[in-house]
Amino acid sequence: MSTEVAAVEMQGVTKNFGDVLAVDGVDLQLRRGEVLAVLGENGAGKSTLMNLLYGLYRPSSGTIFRNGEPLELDGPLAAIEHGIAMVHQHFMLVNALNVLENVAIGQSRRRIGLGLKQIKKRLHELCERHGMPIDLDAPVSSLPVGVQQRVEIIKALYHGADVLILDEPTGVLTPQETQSLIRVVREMAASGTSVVFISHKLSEVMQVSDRIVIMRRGKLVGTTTPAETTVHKLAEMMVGRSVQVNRANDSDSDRIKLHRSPALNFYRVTAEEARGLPFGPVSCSVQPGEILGVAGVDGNGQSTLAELAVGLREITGGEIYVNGDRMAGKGPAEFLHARVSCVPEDRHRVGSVAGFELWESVAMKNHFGSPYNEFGFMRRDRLLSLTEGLIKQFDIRTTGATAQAQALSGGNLQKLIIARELQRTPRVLIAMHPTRGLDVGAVEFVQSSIRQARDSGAGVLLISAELEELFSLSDRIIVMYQGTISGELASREYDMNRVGLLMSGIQPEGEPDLSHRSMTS
Amino acid sequence: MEIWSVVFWNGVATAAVRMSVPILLAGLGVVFSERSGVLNIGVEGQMLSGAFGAFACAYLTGSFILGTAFGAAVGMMVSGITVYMCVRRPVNQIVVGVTVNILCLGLTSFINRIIFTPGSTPPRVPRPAVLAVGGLESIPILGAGFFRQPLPVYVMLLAIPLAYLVLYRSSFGLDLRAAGEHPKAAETMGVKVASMRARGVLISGAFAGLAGSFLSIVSLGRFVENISAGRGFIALAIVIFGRWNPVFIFGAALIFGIAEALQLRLQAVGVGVPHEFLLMLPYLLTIVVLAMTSKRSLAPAALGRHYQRE
Ligand SMILES: Nc1ncnc2c1ncn2[C@@H]1O[C@H](COP(=O)(O)OP(=O)(O)O)[C@@H](O)[C@H]1O
Ligand SMILES: [Mg+2]
Repeated sequence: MSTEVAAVEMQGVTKNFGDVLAVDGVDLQLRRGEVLAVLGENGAGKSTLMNLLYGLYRPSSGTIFRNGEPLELDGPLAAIEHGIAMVHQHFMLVNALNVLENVAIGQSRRRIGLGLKQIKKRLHELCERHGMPIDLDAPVSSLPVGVQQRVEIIKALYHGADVLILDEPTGVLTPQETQSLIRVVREMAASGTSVVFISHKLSEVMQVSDRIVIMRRGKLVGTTTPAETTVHKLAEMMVGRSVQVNRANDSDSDRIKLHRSPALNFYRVTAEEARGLPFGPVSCSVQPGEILGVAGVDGNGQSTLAELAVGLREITGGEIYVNGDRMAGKGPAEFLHARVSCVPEDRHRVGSVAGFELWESVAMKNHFGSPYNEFGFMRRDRLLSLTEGLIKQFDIRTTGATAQAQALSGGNLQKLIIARELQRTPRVLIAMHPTRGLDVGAVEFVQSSIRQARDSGAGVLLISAELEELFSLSDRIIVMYQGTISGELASREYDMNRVGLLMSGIQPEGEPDLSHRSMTS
Repeated sequence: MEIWSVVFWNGVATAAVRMSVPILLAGLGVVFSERSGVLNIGVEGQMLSGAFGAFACAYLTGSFILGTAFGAAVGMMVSGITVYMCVRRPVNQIVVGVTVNILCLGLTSFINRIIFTPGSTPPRVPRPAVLAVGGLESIPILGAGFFRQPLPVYVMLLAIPLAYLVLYRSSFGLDLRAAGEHPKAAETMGVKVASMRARGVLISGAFAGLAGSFLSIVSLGRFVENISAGRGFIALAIVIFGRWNPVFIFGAALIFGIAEALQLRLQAVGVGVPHEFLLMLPYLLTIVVLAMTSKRSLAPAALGRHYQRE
């Protein structure tokens, strides 16, 4: 179209890690002042592609051009010198330092003092110009995630970036923060910055971008613009087959019989503060046969809630009941015996042991008592056949029960963990971010397993950052903010906007404040 | 002499400040190393080697200044082992530190016996004279503590503001701390993490060597085997207690100085407690203090973890 030189151009760029081909012959143009969305499923190669541009990795083959000149980067530092900056999924900020100091890192080869005054002045200008208010003297750890992200962006602009890569920037934001980020991105593009916006969320891609490229299995499989396409078409290109974008919620509140004792009951529970966040008092309960969704921006007490519910942490006040039994002062083993199952947040480090064989991973929660334990010895034969059975039933792709856990892909490892937890026919199932980082096929499987657990009578506590997932699975949703429950919604009240407000601690109009309510069971 | 007399407590104060200096110096050094992300367990060995180096050099050259400088240099050289093993290579930092300490204990004792033949009267160097600050020295206790000391004590106390300025007001200090908090983030900002950490450890070694010099040629005027006697470990403890902050660390070092001075003075006065028990006082205090230190850690976030560039 135009004869203008592209800000960035990639030709035949390929990157492999061992025999994994993460990026496969990508040709791509990034024009000046445009927002280019890179859309793709988890594992499609989006981050790797952009890490190549950012100099974190070197291409195995192919060339990258910057303003028409071939670009050779030997690290992120060189990228900054070429005006390329990247905001990672995990922020590159030092929590213990304040905003100014974070921007001032890296000057020691050029000057002795810090020059904080000049930096402050310049940052003020930038914040003003781009409409991003930031308290520059606040320690980063005290800032909400949305503001930390602004700090990253301002840091990039301060260092003179005119190509800005945002890697899944909305994964940690509330819907409102997402909207304000989209405004900032549009505004930056208008003032000439080229922005790469990596995402797997269709609606925001439609909203933010000038152009969209779609990646699948390391390859670029399509280029389009929001005007030419629909959410539905994008989903098909992304997954490579037709999918149902929004599954109807089949839950029906009448179906939940009201039991005398809830499967899991928190009554005014408080806990010691974790990561600087006090917890509680929290009151909530999960009925047998119910999925209670827990929404909230990461780090608002959800991890603590899950850890309390499986006995990994002690309560400092209130009561926890499992099937009506008081659990105060009891540890994980007792929770296990009360048939509380858990799909933990970190499947690699908490959910499994990398060096264990699959049957050993299954044995971790099954090795006490018959039939898998006799006179203190594990019955390897029985555990092996149990594991083989689970592998078949849950369609886990592996070489067999004696394969190592670390050899499984993320999706298959998650299946194994879910298989292990469900095999115990739990009364309570705690599932924390159960589909995070999985591909669409595995996501569907995990979600249907959770529904099955509910249908067979378990009370499920589902913690997730994906509101769509919560809306489609949960019978009820509570929202956590700063270690307490900021609101509760029945399934007919589900609404992105409303949940979003609650996630940032704002009570929507006409909503009673639930955080001080006491439960009567 | 009576315990409840000003004279007794003046004596305690003078000794306390002097005793706190080596712990303080070693502690300040450890701050540099640990703020950069490297545990320097080898500080005890670096201190001991520095003490020996300083004494040998001062004895052979007759120069106090040369001895001090050489002591610092020896401490720094010994910390080079930690740099190679724990910064260049990913060896466990605790294991390396413990090994360095054992090595230094053996080596200093061995070389000491070779150079200075035992049996004869142990060699000595003259200790620097006390330099009272006119007027201020007569303030009870405080004056005895801070204004009736040999010159090196005053000079060494200057290390506190110096360390503070370097750590918190210079870009080197900021980059050093960034390397110990979030090395990957530091690297993306252009900080060479490995080089920062190497410098942190070497500074720590130099400080430890200086602390050792102080022990041998200022406090004692001679070298005895295992002269550091665990003061390096106490330094590691006061760094935790002092929250990796030079000013708080001085406070913590003073507390230990007082404990040491007190046990010495009490021995001299002769209270009815076996001196072995009095000797335990500073070490006991270390355990008590560490047990009291709050659970919420203020340690650098990446402390003790090796960083590998991608
Ligand atoms: N450092 C690495 N070492 C080995 N494999 C990697 C590495 N980084 C990414 N991969 C693999 O490359 C593929 C693409 O990953 P990634 O770029 O992170 O995808 P996306 O960002 O689209 O989710 C995945 O299969 C992933 O497992
Ligand atoms: Mg990614």
